Amino acid sequence: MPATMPLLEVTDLDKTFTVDSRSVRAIDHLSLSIDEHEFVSIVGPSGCGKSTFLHIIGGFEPATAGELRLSGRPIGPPGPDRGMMFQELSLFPWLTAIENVAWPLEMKGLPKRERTAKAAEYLDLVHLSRFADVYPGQLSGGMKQRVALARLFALDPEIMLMDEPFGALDSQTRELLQEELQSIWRRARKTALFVTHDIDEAIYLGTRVIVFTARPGRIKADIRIPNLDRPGDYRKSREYLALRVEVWDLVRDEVLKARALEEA
Amino acid sequence: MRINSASIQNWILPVAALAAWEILGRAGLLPRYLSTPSAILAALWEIALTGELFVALAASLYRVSVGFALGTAAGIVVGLGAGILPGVRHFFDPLVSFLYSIPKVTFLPIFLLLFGLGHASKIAIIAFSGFFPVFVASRHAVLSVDKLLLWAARNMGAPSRTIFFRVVIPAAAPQLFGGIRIGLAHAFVVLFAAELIGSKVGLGTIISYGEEWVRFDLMFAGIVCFAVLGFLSDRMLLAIRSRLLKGQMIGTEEEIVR
Amino acid sequence: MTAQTFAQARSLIGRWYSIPLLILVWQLTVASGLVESRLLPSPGRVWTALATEVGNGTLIYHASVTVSRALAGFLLAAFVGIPFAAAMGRSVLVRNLFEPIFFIGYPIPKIALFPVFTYIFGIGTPSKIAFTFLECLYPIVVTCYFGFRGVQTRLIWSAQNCGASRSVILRRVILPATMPSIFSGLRVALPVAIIVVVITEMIGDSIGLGYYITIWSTRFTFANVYAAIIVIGICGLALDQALLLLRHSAIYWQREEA
Repeated sequence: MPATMPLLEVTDLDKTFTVDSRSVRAIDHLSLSIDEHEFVSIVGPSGCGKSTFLHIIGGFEPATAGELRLSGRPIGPPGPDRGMMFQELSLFPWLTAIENVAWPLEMKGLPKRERTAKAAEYLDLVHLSRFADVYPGQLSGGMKQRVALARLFALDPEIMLMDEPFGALDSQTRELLQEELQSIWRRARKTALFVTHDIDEAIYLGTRVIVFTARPGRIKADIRIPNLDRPGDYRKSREYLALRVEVWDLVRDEVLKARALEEA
Repeated sequence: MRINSASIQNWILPVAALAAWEILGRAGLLPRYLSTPSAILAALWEIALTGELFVALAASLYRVSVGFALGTAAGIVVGLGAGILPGVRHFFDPLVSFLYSIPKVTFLPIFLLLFGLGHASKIAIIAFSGFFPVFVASRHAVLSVDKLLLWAARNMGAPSRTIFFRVVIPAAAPQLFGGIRIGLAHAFVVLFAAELIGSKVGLGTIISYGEEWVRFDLMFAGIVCFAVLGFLSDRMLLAIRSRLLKGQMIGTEEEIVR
Repeated sequence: MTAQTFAQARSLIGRWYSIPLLILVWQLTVASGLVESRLLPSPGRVWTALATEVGNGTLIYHASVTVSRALAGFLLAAFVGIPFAAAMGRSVLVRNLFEPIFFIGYPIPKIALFPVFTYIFGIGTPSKIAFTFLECLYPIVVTCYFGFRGVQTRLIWSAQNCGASRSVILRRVILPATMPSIFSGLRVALPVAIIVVVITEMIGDSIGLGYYITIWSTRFTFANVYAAIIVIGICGLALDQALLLLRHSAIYWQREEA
C-alpha cells in the first residue's frame, strides 16, 4: 500500500467544559488517523464525547488542547470542507426540499439553472424527486433526513461528518436509510466519520469501528472491517455476528461505567 | 364555508344578539344610548353620503398606518440589532423593560403639547407605542433562532451577511409577526384614546360628536367603523404573513387559528 | 475589592448603564435649555414632585384607586375566564358557540366600545372594572383554551387507567398540566388591566392615575405628570413580580425563565 498522507489527523486532542464552575473533561488525549475513502463509525455510551468530537472537527467547538489537521492543513472555523449532517432540525423550514439541497451549491457560486439541475440529481439519489417542491414541515422524519443527506452530498465536502443522523427515526426507517446510504456511499467512497450509539448500524455501514470509552472519551478499540461487501443477508453472516459480539462486549463495559458516572 | 353543525353553532350567538338588539330596541325596551342596528346602519349611510365618513376614515387610517409603519420599522431594526449585538442589547434592555409596564398613552398629553392637535401627535404616539412589542419580539426571535440552523449555514460556507439576511431573518420571521400583530392592536388602542382626547378629525371625533349631540346612532356608527378598521387591518396583516411565511406555517397551530 | 467583585460590578454596570446615562442626558438637555422646561422638567424637579406627592399621600391615593380597579377587573376576568376556557376546551358545543366571539373579536379594538360602558355603568369605578373585565377576558380565555386543549391525552389516559374519577382527573391532572398556560395568560392580562384602567381614566374620570395625569397636564405641571408615570411603572413592575412569585409557588416543578 502506498504511503499516503492521512486525510484527517487528530493528535492528543483534549476537551474540557466548564459547567457551573465545575470542569468536565469530555475528551482525553485522543489521537486518531483517518485515511481517504474510509467510513469510520464511532460508537460509545451516551455522554462519552463522541458528538463533541465531531463538533470539534467541524469547527463548531474549539479544542482545549491538541492538533487537528485536514489534508495537512490545521482545522479552522466551520466550512464546506467538512460537511456536517445533524440528527434533526437542520433543514431551513422556509425553503422547499430542492431549495434546501441547492443552498450549498449557491454558496459555492453556481448559477441558478445549474444548481437547480444538480440539486434535482441529488434529490433523485435519495429517491425524493417527487417531493422537490414540498416544505420540510410536510415531510416525515425519515424524508427530512434523506433531504439532509442529499444536501450533504450536494455540498461535496472533503470529509463527511454525521452526528447520529438516523437516531431520531424508527428502526424500520433507519434500516432502509442505512441500506440507501451504504449503496450511495459505495459509488464515490467519500471519507466519512459517522457517530452512532447503534452498534448494528456502526458495523453495517463502516469500514472501521472505533469504540469510545465512557467520559472522559478515549479510544478503547479500533477495529477494521476488511470485507466491504454488504449483500442483503450480511446481517445474518457469521462475520457480522462475530463482530457484533466483539463490539458489544467492548461497549457494554463502557455503558455500565457511564451509568455509574450518571448516578454518582 | 361549509354549512355544518359547527358553523351553524358558530353563528347562533352573534345573530341572536343582533336580532334581540334590533327587536328590543325598536320596541323601546332598551335604553336610548343603545340605539338599534338599523339606526346605526342608517347613520353610517348618512355620513357616507355627506362624505364625512371618508374624511374621518382617511384621517384615522393615515395616522395609524404611518405611526404603525414607523414604530414597527424602528422596533424591527433596533430589536434585530439587540438580538445580535450584546452592546445594543445591554443599552436598550433596561430602558425597554422600565418603560414596558407604563402605558404609552400616559405620554399623550405631552405629545399633544409637543406636536399639537393634528396628525403629527397621533403618529408620534402610535409609533412610540408600537415600537415596544415589536422590539421585544424581534429581540427574542433572533436570540431563539435554532443554533443548528446557524451551524448548518456556516458549515455550507455562508458568509456572515448571508447568514443574517437568509437564515436569521427568515427563521425569526414567525415570531416577528407575532410582535407586529400585538403592535398593531396597541396602535389602534392608542389611536382611539388620542382621537377621543385631543383631535379635530377622525373616527374618534365622530364618536365624541355623536355623544355630545345625543346622536347615539352616530356614535355607534363611529364605533362600528373603528372596530371594522381594526379588524380588517389585522386580517390584512395575517394575509401578508401567510404569503411571506407560507412554507413555514404549514401544520403549525397558527394556521389552525383563523 | 477582590477581582471577582470587581468583575461582578463591571458586568452589573455593563447591563444597566443606560438608565443612569439617560437620566444624565435628561439633566443636560434641560440645563442646556434645548427643550422647553415646562414640557421637560429636570430630573431633580421630577424627583421632588414624586417625593412630595407620595409624601402627602395624593399619588398613593390615586395609585390605589387605579390598582384596585385594575385588580378587580383582572381577578373577575380570571375567575370567569379560566373555568370558561376549560369548558370551551372540553365541550365542542361551548367551543362552537363562543369561538367566533373570541377569535374574531380578538383583533377588534374593544376600547371603541368603552363609551357604551360609561352609559351603562356611569363614569366611575364600575365602568372601569367592567371594561377591564372584558379586555382581560380575551387573553385569559384564549391562552387558557389552548392550554386546556393541549393537555396530553396520554396523561389523562394514565389517570383513567389508575381508576381516577372525573373530578380527580380535572383537579389533579388537567389543572396542574394547564398551570403554565394559565399563568402565561394571566401574565399577558395583568399589564392590559393597568393600561386599560389608566386609559379610561384619562378619557373621563375624576380620580385615579389617568385622571391625575390629565389634570396636571392641563395645568402645565409636568413634573407631576412624570412622577405619576413613574408610579404607574412601579405599580406595574410590582404586580408583575407578585404574579411571578405566585407562579413560582404554583408551578413548583418547573423553573422557567421570567
